[in-house]
Amino acid sequence: MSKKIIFESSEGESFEVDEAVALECQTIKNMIEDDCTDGGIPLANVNSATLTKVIDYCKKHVEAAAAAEANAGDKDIYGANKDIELKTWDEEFVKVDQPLLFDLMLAANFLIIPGLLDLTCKTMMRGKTVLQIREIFHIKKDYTDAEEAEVRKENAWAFE
Amino acid sequence: MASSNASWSLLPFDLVENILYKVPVDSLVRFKSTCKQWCAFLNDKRFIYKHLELSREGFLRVHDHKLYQFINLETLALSSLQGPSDITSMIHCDGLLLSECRFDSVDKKLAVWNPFLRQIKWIEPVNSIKGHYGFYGFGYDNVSRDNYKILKFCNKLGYDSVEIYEFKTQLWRSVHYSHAYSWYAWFDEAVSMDGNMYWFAERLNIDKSITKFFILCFDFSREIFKETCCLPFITRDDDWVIPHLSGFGRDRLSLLSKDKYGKIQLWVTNNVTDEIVSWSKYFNMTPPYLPIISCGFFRNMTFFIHKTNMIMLWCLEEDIQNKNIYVNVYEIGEDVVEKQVETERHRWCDQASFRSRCYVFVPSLVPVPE
Repeated sequence: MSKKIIFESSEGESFEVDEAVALECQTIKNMIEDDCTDGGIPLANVNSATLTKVIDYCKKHVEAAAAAEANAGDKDIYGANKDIELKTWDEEFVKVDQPLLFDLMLAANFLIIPGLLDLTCKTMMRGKTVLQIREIFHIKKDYTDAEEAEVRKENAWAFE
Repeated sequence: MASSNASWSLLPFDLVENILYKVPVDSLVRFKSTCKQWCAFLNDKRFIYKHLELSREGFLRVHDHKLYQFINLETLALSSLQGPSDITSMIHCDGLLLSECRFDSVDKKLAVWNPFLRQIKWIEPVNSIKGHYGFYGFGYDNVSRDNYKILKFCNKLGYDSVEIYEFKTQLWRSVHYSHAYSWYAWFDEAVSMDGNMYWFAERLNIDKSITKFFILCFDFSREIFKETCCLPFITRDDDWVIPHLSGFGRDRLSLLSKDKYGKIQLWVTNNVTDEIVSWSKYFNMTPPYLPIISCGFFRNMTFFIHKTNMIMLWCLEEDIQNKNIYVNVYEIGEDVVEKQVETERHRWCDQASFRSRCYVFVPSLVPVPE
């Protein structure tokens, strides 16, 4: 039987996962290598709802990687996986509300899961207006109306 | 943390950077008006060039005499762009385009533009070569990535001097090169890669008995012409068709050729900065899977290697019987057409005087040099 790793969410809930799944997180991988995972890993900044999703993501990608190994060489020159089924799964995976998506992105950044970070960042920014961006990131507009109009004008089309 | 209330100011800055690197150029242009901090960051050279390194190629198609269409090859989404009108040639480098616009037989102008930033700079073509059919190169001096230069020369080198334009000085200057032989370059098959320029060229020996085909390079840092390599085939016969040249990654070239039996082959080089550059076969394409390249149309095509053993191919197909022209994008592997997208269809006579073209293009935030 494979070794198990125990995560503890910010609410104190325990999640047991296979070591292979935990290794998808670079941060955890380093901890495992340093042998400091006994007694569970407390993740004080990841809540249970987010952690459940993160584990789902890692599990799916471990399975997909194992399947891809069977068809070796299925990677493109940029190292990305060619697996269309996995891409579709990823697209479904990020169909969540904005707050959870934001939390997933923070978790992916903290745990260092490059694939998940990439996926959540792209999804979060896709098709957003400037107003939505200010809302998501809690950015206060520091332009005066005139300055903002000027910035927009710079991007207006120069051909007539 | 771990709450959606985490504010922007609490986010680690490297995460914000990370997010912005993954955002496409058209969104980033809009996001400049988010706040002053984002605007400054998005205008920073370091950000601009790293974002460019992480971006993937797409196709930019001249759609009408002044309308352009960008095809994102990841999503196959199409977006319309505007640009200068009546272009006769175009070279892409770092998301910038160098276009020659010909308003009539005398009035020609050069435009350097970034379609996504909607910036353009007009440059007066150099006088000494006016009237001749000029060839252009577009690249940069590797001392500084944003030191862009334009090269102009006449097709038959050995008779004329070469002109180089630097944005730094905003001047053309002449450089003389002496050659033991003359050569011709093929204007459509030109690639700007990693700051240097590559053409498909033909060399004539003095007695004109032997013709040699090769890849010619102009090194913008050292300002010298050099032969990169020969082509992977030796002789020319009647049915031989000019192959198509494209970049491969950031430091290799690729070539799509068709022989007299209709066999389509894809070739790639090793790193072009290696001492000896040579071609190796990447894969064969079997015509039955691709009616378009089996029936003789090989001219109006643009390609590049999109993934391992997979190319994206843009082509213009004519249906002579129904007088229709189809503009399609294909994703093609060795024995399979993975995808096909029709980007446009029009009647044959609609655009009789206009030749549609397509270029490999990477959208970028690189500003048009002043």
